[in-house]
Parts: sequence; structure tokens; C-alpha cells
Amino acid sequence: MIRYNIIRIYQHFIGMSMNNVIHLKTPISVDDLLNLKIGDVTFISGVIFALRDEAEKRIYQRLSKGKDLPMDLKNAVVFHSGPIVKRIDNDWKVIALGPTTTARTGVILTKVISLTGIRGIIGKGGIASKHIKDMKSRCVYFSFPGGAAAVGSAATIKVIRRYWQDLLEPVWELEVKNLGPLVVAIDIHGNNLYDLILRKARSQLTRILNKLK
Amino acid sequence: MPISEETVEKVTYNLVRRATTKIPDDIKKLLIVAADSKENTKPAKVQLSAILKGLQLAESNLIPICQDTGIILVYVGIGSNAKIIGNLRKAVKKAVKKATVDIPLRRTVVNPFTRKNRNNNPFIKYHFLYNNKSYLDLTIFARGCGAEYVTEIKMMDPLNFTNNLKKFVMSMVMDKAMWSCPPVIIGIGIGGTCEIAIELSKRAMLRPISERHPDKNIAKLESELIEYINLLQIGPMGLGGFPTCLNVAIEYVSSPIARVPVCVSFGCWAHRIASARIYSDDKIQYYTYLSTFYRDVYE
Repeated sequence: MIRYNIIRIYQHFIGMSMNNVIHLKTPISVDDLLNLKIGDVTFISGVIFALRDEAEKRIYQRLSKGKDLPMDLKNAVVFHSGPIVKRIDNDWKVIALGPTTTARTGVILTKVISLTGIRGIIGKGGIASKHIKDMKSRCVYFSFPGGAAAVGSAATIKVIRRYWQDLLEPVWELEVKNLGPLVVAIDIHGNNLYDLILRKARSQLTRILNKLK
Repeated sequence: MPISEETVEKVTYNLVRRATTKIPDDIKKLLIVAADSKENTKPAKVQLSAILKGLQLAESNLIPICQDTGIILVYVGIGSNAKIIGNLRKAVKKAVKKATVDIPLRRTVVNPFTRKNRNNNPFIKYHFLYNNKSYLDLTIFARGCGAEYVTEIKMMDPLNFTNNLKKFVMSMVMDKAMWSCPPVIIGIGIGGTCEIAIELSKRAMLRPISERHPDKNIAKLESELIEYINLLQIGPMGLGGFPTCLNVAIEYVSSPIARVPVCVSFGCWAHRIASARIYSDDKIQYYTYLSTFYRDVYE
């Protein structure tokens, strides 16, 4: 019989990098990211771009045809999100800002990262491990808690610009202050927190399945 | 006195608002316990505290919990003696449309071919209650897409069924829980034909999380699965720690001899449901969970 012994199971997790909270400011350089380790908790202030897969596809199509982009993504942070934004008089107000699943974007994302120089991706669920090597030395992946969209909108100061309104969901350039908590899930050295968690889960699963036989 | 179109519209509107801006208290309690636990890991606690902060902000500002306000499922249960004047369908659609603008909700539903927006057309599921009652039951279930798209259906071999079911669920959690905003709520529908199993898996999720199946063996199976899944330590948002799963609810009906249809549906922690019962004298009672939608559905 498997016993749910919480303390025993969690001991090794508690030993993981438990640094204090780290504050980052955009634009972000590779140097800013070198000391970030998986499990670190960060908050970002400055400018971010909220966009979804369709916008990412367009970014890739334009760049691969040698066309310019209307936005500057060098050293930028991209939030995989389709926020709820409300028009109030002549202004936009971000009502809810939270992450969408990153896994859908896959190979295009890594190409966009290397073409533009994006330094940070905020999302949920991580990126397929086969693509991580293309992110190494270029970009960090941050996990934002899914469903905490009111926390995201509370950290948003204003909408700077909206791009490509013909898309189902356009690109939003937002000014944010202390957006987070953002847990470093894939660091710039290619360490992957999701992989670590899943490896442990897989060995636990094997143990459970053996008992079922 | 019959139930009016206006009342249905008003109640549906209130339910959409309630469902998208608030989660059931019992789920919130579980999240608080896990966030406060000394044994939990830091990434897990950070996720859970942010989630709780988000819930508080959403509730006090009346804004959606999640930017993916979901596909709006509307379950309508009609008592066999209920009299309704006007167009029920029109009332529900109008209410969802109005709520979409007012709250506001994200317009998440599009034409799959043209990708043109459908402005949150709700999906309405009617269900007739043969119980001589004259009330009308309404349940709103806002299904986030992250959770919806990991659903799996399998026609399973009846041999060694229970063990294979456990394996099926466990491997699904392993592969997919991370994408559906864990801690997850899992609904398992078993038996009937394929679409009955799917329907049951959704309805299982409408059951209160502390309520186990009345069949003792099934209740035991549910508890066992909850324990096993939490042992995997995938944790909130897949960053480790606990909980990975808040509930596993199984609903079953008789199954064909040769195969057992099984559907496993996932729900994110942001479990957005709300119910109401409208009586014929226009008295309205609001609920978090309403049993007509998760029990005695078939057979």
C-alpha cells in the first residue's frame, strides 16, 4: 500500500534553489539572465508584448520574407496571452491578463526567438523539450500562474499600442509594473524545471503501476 | 404561474457573472490549505498564493478569474410540469451576449472554417426532468479551452477493466495535466455509448468535490485515483509540489458487453460553475452545485 507521506516526498524539493524574489526591467540583456536558475521567482517591470500563436506565425512569415516588424522585439519580453481588453472612451483597459498554453506554438516560437532576439517568454506548460536547445543562451521561459488573470491585469499600467487588429487577437504592447510571480521554468543554460518534475513523476508512476499488476 | 422569458434571461445573466468571477468555496478552501502548508514546495506555494490573490481581485472587482472565460455550456433542466412562456433559447442567448459585453468576457468561440468570431454563442443542453416538478433548473459551466482540449475517449477492453482504467487516467495526467492548469478536476464518464460517456464525464465534474460516488467501490476508486495522482507531484501549473489534482469524480451507467466506453475530461482549478432553480411563482434559488445535473441522468 502506498502511503501519502508528505514530508518524505517534499524534502528533496525544498532543497531546490530558493532564492529571494528577483526584479527584472525591460529591455533585458542576456547578461541579466545568466544568473537566473530554474525555480527562481521573478517580477518584470517595463514593456511586454501580449500575443498568441496567430500573431507569432505572422511575425515569422514577415521575418522569413525579409520584411520589417512594426514592433521592436529585440531584448523584449513576450507574454503568450489573449487578454480581455475593454475600450473605455478613447482608452484601452486591460481587464484580464493571463497565460495561454505555449506548447501549441512549438517550432515557430524558437525560430522567432532566434530571429528577433526575444529574451523572455511568459506562458504556461513550457515548450517541447526538443525545441529547448534552440532557446539556450538566448531566452528564458517564465511560468505565470494560469487563471490568475486578475493579478496580471492589476500589474498592467496601460496599453501602449495595439498591432495587427485584423488578427482574431491582436498584439498588445503593454506597460507593466511588477508583473508576476514569474517562476523561471527554463533557464538560459537549458535547464528545464518541467523535465525535472516529470522525470520524478514518471518514476513515481512506474512504482504505482507496478502495484496495480 | 408560468416562468417568464425575462426571468430566465435575468437568472442566466447572473449565473454567467457568478460562474466567471468566482469559484466554489470548497475548492478555494483546498487551495488555501495547500498554499499555507509548510510541507509544500516554494514554486507551488508561489503559484497558489498568486491564484488566491487573483481570486480575491476578481471577486471584489467583478472581473473574470481567467482571461479565457471559456466556452459557455448551459444545462437546462425542465420539470415535466414546468410552464415557460416565450423563447427559452432566445432568453439564454441574449443573457450570455449581454454578459459578454458587461463583464466583459472574451469572445472565445469562432467558426472553425472561416475563423470568424461567433460572439460567444452559448451551447445549450436541454434535459427533461420526469419528476412532476414545475421548476426549471439552470447550470452554467464555463469551460476553459486549455482543459477542454486534453479530453480523451477510449473504447476499453472489459478484461481487467479497473486496473486498465487506472493506468489510462494516470498516463493521461502524466502527459496532459500540465497543459490544463493544475491542480485539475477530473471527470470520468463510463458506459453507454460513446457520447453518453462523454456527457457523463462532464456531469461528473458538476458534482461537489467533497461528495463521493454513492457506490462504495466507485467511491474507493475515486479516492485511490486522487491519492495516486497527487503522489506524482506534478503540482500547481506543473512546477512541482502539491496538489496536482483536487478531485476525481466518476459517473457510470451500464455498458455494452464487448467494450466499455470511457471518457476522461479535465478541468482547471478555476472551476467555473453556477446553478439556479426557478420556481413557477418566479422564486429563484441560487446554488453552487445542483444535483439534477449530475445524478440520474440516464437509465
